[in-house]
Amino acid sequence: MNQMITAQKCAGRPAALMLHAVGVVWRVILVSIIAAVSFVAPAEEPAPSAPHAVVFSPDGRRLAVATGKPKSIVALSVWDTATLRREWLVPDRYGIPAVAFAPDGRSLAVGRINEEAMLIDAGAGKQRTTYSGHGLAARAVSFAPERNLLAVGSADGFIKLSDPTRGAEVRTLRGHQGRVYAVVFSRDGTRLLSAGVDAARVWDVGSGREQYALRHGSPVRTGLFSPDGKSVVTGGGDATVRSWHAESGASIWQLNRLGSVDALAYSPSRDLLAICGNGRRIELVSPVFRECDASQRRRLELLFARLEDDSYSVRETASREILEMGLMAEPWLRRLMTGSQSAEVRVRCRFLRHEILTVARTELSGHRDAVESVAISPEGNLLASVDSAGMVCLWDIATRRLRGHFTPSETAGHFDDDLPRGTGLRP
Amino acid sequence: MDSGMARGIRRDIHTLYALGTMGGRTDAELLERFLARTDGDSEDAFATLVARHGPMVLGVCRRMLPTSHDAEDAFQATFFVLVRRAGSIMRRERVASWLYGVAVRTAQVARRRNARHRAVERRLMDEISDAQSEPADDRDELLPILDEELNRLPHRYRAALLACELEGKSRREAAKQLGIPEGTLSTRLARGRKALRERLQRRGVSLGVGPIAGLTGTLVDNIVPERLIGLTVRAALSDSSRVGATAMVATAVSSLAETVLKMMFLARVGFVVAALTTAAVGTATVASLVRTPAAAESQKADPTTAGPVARVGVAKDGSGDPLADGTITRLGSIRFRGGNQRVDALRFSPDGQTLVTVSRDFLIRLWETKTGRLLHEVLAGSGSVSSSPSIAFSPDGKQIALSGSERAGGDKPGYDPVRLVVDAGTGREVGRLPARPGDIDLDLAFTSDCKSLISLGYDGGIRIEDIKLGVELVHRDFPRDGTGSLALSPDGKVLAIWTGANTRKLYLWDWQRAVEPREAKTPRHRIDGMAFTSDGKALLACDDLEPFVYEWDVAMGDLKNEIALGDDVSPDGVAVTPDGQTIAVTDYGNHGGKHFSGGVFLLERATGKLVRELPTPGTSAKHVLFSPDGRWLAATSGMGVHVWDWRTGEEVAAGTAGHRSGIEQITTGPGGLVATAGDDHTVRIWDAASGVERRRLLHGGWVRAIAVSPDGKSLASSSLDNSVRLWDISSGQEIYNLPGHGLYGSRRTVGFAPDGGRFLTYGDDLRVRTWDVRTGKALTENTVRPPGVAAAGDVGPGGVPGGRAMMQGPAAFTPDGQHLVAVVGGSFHTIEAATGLVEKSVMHPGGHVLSLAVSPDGRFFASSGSGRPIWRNLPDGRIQSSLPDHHPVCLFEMASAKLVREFEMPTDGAGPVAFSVDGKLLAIGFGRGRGEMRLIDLATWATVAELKNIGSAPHTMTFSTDAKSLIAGLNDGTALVFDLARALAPRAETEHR
Repeated sequence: MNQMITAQKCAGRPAALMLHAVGVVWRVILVSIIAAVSFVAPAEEPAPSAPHAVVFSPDGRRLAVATGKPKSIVALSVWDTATLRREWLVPDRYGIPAVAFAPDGRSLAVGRINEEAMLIDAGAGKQRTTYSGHGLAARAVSFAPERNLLAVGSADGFIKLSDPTRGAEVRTLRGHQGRVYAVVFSRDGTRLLSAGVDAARVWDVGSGREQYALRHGSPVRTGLFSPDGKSVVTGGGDATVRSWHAESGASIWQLNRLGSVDALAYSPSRDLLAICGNGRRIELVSPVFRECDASQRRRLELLFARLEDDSYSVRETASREILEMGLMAEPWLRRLMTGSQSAEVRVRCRFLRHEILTVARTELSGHRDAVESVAISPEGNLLASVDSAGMVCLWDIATRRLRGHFTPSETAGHFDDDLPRGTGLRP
Repeated sequence: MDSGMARGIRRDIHTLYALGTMGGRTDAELLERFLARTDGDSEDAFATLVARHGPMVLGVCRRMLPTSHDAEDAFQATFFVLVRRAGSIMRRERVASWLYGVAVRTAQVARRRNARHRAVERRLMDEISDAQSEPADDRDELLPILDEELNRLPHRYRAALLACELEGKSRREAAKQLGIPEGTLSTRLARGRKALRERLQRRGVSLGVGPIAGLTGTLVDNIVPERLIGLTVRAALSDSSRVGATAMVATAVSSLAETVLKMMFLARVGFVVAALTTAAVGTATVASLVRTPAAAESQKADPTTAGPVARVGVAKDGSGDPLADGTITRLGSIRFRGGNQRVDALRFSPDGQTLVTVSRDFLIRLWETKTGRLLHEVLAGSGSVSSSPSIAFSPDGKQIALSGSERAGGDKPGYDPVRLVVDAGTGREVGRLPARPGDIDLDLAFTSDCKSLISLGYDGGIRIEDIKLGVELVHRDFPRDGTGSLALSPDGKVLAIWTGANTRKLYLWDWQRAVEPREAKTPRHRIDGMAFTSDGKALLACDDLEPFVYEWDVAMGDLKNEIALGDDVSPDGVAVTPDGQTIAVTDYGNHGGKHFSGGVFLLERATGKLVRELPTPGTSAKHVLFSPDGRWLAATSGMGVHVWDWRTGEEVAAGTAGHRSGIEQITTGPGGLVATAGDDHTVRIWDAASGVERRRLLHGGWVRAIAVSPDGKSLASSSLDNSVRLWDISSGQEIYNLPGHGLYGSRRTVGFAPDGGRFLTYGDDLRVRTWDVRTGKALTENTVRPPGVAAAGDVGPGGVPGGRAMMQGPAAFTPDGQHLVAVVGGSFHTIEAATGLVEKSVMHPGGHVLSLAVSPDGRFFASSGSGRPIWRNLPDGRIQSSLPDHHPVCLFEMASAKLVREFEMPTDGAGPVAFSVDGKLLAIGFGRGRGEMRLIDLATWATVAELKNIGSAPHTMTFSTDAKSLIAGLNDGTALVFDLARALAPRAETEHR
């Protein structure tokens, strides 16, 4: 307004008007520069980052290692598990936060930071198809085992189901409030479990309807279905691993750990659950999904009767044996710790249950940084883990020994013993 | 003589004092003249002294004595003593201070005599005091206390206060009289006032700002009648020449003077003996055993006039350290124990024979390395330093630089930063560097010439300052972080600066050459505990969280080696042997929160191979150091220091060490049996008479409660390893290992039923259990649900009670095993043990409850806790909370849960309470620092005995079952067994001692 008035005043004097016009132009330029700078400035957020991920191919011969960390030289690499040689790699300056093998093992689905998911030829590492429109980062990918379906969970909470052969979108699952960390199909492919920052949700794939939400009270980082599909296990930032009834979503048991549970892997052949949520160590828990058979039930009944024995040594032996039954004894312990007439039985049952649910029994130790992801080969003989520094370790599950290790930037890994491990102060 | 005397008195004394030849002279000069004994001059000098200091002396006497007659007698006696002992006054400028001391003593003697004759003279006395001195207001009651406390101040402070506050002299006059500069006088005045105020507060007298000034009015209005001055001068001088003494001097006065003279002589002898013994046995812990007068009305009276009790044949404990009078024995050893404070820095003398430690209360201690004997102990600074100071030793080990914050003077809230350099041997301040307001030093180091101090400020600035001049020589800013540290290479050339956990940068700086600091490569994690090798070529540091030790090449700035430790190790400090072959790493020892037991690991530097593990059970080790000769290894842990001959792994003074942590509970059994439970995972069984450790029972965590069965054969213990165990005392074997009361929290209680067939446990999982001693089976288990406290339920697996554990206080079972008194949520609850039902509840009148005891008949329970916090609104809108300087001890009736009596204890440091075996006495432990105990007769509520300066603050107390001794477990991990008969015996009159 002021400028206009000034301009009118100056109307009779061309030279002055010129000067004034130049001044106005300068001001406009200055303002637009400032506006541009201030508009650009907030866009400089820290680059999105996701942990490393490892996944075995369906035949167990190959291992894919991906990292969602920005500026990674190698965003995705595929390794031969027998020779520990790198087969191929994909560079990506933003990183690749998610990876999954197709059921036939011929292609790999990867999630990317820049709004798209990709299908890659597993043999040569060549790109096949790109699926876009995933909002922000595609943080989670998974194939349905028997149906031709790919699920991609993204950072803005949508899960898109698409047909990987035709590339057509089938359905979008809406319900998560915020980032989805993991998606996994049940073995029969009828249900989908998604772990997100708000809760874990179980969906009916056919109708696309949410069946129920499983809450940890903090972000749910990972989850998986039991082999029979009857229960679900989730791990979350509240440092717990929780088991739920797949039908009702009712809580079954809960393991308490020391740190955020970031990844879970399950070996059906050994009924073994691998948990990474305790820093540098990977914990193995068993049995997880197995129910008692008749003989085990009889044995437990006998052991619980012995908890009331007058002899201290009989009670102690029975306690130890119950402890060895692990999670199988948990329902009994839960019932008796409040329901028993005998104070001795109540006290011991509470104690044993606490021991089973909180104390780690078997651990794999050798990583030098926090483990971020873990996978078990389909045959159940190999376990792969990757830590925050990118070191991948391959373990022999039967012997609990380290088989070899590598980092994605290497071309070949190292077998067994040359890993600079702890000096063994405390075995 | 007569003529000289007459000549002296002919003069107008006031004129003489004010204007005459003597008036302008200092006390020292007057005293010299008096001692020269030349006629006339000598008298004049003496008269001047009487006139000059008379008002002060008379003031003291009047304040402490009820009648003016008594006061005048004491006044005269005081000057008689001056005449007799003038030659022995060492520091002649301190006449005023000396006279003051004598006056106080004389008045005390006179008062005690009065008290003795009071029954006879009561009526008369009352009449006199009614007539002559107005009834006392509160202030009059405080005045004797003021005089006594003033008398206990160090000479230099007392003299300054006397001159300026009590005699009302101007600064200039006072300075001249004392022969010191005015500036020094001001400093002394300020410090003296502060010290006096603190002392008075400890005695329950609280004074506002400029307190002493408030009293000055009362103190200086004592105009001495000329009659009295004349009388005194005449009588004193005639007495001194022993001519016609009896004629001149009233018998009362001369006998008073004689008594005081005798006392002074004995005190001197006592002092000399004490000094000799102290020097001989090398200890500073001679406690005094003091008993207050039994007469009920004199409870307020002076509780202690006796100095340290010194005897030639001092009793000794198992390791040969002396015991205070009245102490039968010590359970454990004080060698390498730091008392109440964590040791924050340590340094070996160049020959490795002496170890110097500094704790965060600025207490410097010198230890003999090979025996652990405390050689010397001294407090640096004013002693009011706050926590977490930075400490550095000079390379020659002679000076210590301390930086911390000092409680702000006057009424100012908060703390002021202070930076001192003190002599490591004497603790005397040798330099004081200017402190920047609002900035504290994160770390300090001396330059290799010991003349300058390098400091890393909170603002990230490195400053190098000259200690003598206080001038900043070098200043360079590094990233501001607030958590950094620094290390200087042995040749003093390279400074390693770790900027802190937030900025995570490591710089190596050749600071003497004008070159830029080089940034060294840092590992992914934070580092801690930097140490250079003795050749200065390598720098070592450990990871702050993960089990690694890193090594840098100093010349190149490269991270050249990484030594991996075991998975469970949380390193906290690192040291390297002078030959550079071996490194020592301390373990913080918090193994995933499961157990808490640290130690030191010795590793081969080149290979990382474990050489030896040196555990420090129950405590975490932090700072670690090798002696320059490479023989000894010292590590700080908990309240003390551990020293090993690291090549053999043998720990110095470990054999008789007793607990290596605070004692949590003490309990006694028949036959002189004492059992102690400690945070070092052990229960120890002792013989009370000899102090010999009979058995050591090992738990896997802090042991928090123990009980001995009535027959003395078994012991039950409850520990944070989540177990309750039953032990056979004679064999030391574990009988049962039973489920405990959780891994978390800290409050546990154990008790036996009188028949010995059952025992009871209670813990902060709020569960109370009864166990069968024979089978080890739980008979009952119930959850206690006090009103207003969230129900226990089974929320956490294993009954981990979550946040409720924080609200838990102590608990105790009644002797019949039927009931439990437990503190939950700030209230006492009486609970039926078999059912867990809460019967009665009552609030604690103060803050936190620290200790609880049930009387032997089960009718009462006593508690001790902190006072209610005081909240203050500061002018800047913040709220400051502080604890009052007193705390309550309460007695409750069990059946009704009603408060029967509340005592105020004079410090903010609440301690344990215990009932005597017959239930007639209540023992109360309290105090910070060196600790005090008091015995109260529950029939009369009178304090019947006081034990002061016992060595360290008591944490738990109990009486032996034969009722002959009182045993106190102290914070330094030792326990003292006191002879109860000695403590209760009437104290011999001070003057006959």
